[in-house]
Amino acid sequence: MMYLFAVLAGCLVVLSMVMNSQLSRGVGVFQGVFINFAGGLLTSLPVYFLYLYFGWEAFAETSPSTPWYAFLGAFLAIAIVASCNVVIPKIPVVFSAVLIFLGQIVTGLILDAVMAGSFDPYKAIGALLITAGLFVNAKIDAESDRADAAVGTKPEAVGIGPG
Amino acid sequence: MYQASAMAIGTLITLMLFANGALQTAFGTSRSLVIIHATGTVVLMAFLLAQRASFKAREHINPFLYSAGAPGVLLVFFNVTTVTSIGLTMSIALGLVGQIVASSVVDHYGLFALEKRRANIKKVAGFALIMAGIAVMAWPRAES
Repeated sequence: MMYLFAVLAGCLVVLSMVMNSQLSRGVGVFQGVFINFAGGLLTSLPVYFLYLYFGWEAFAETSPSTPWYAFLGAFLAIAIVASCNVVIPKIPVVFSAVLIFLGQIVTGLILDAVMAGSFDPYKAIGALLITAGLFVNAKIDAESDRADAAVGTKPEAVGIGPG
Repeated sequence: MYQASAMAIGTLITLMLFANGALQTAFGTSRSLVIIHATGTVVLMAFLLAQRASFKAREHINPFLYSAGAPGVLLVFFNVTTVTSIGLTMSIALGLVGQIVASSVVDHYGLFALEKRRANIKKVAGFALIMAGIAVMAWPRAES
C-alpha cells in the first residue's frame, strides 16, 4: 500500500509541476507558489475537519516534543522553487533530472542511516543502479534531441521529466 | 558549479520530506497538512506584500490552474505517510518511477497543451536498471 502511495506521489509531482509552471507563467513565480499554498490550505482545512468528524486520527492529549526542524517544510519548499528558477535554466535539462535525483537519494540514504542507527548497503546499491538507469536514459534523450535538431525539427528540450 | 547546485536542490527536496515527516510524527497527518500549507501561505503573503508584488495575471491562463494546490495536498499526504513508514530512500526511489511514468504519458500524448514528445522505446533499458535498483532496495532480508 505504501509502495503504491509513493509511486502515486511521483505522479502527482509531475501534475503539480506542470500546473505550477503554467500558473507561474501567467501570474509570476512567487504569486504562483502563493496560490498553490493558499489553495492547499483551503483544501487541507476541510480534510482536517473530515478527520476530526470521523475520528480517523487519534490525537494524543499531550503532543510529543516536536523537533525545531519539523516546521521547516514550507520554507524549504519555497527555497526549492526559488533555486530551481535560478539553476535549472543553466544546465542541460535532461541531466538536471539526474543531478537532482542524485542529491535527493544520497541525502535520503544519509538521513535514513542516521534515523535507523545503521547503514543499509542494499539501499545504497539500489540507489546506484537507479542513478545509472536515469543516466542511461538521459543520454538517450540527449542523443534524440541532437538528432531532432539535425533534421530541423524543434527539440522540445524543456521536458517535465523527473526532478 | 551549477551541477553542484542542482544536486543541492535534490538535498533540499529530501530535507523537506524529512521535515514534513517529522511534523507528521508529532502532529498527525491531517494537522500536519494544515500546518505546512498555513506556514507557506503566511510566509509567501508576507514576502509578496513586502515586495509590493502585483497579483494581476500577465496573460490569460486556464482558470483550472488556480486549483494547483488541491493535488498538492494529496501529494503532501502521500509524502508524509510514506516517508514515515517506508523511509526516505524507498519513497524517493518509488516516487521517481511514478514521475517517469506520468511524465512519459504527459509527453507522449501532449497533455496540458504541451508539445507531443513520443516515448522512446530505447529508454526501456534505463527503466529496467531503475526497476532492478528498486528490487535490490526492497529485497527481503534479515532484520538488521
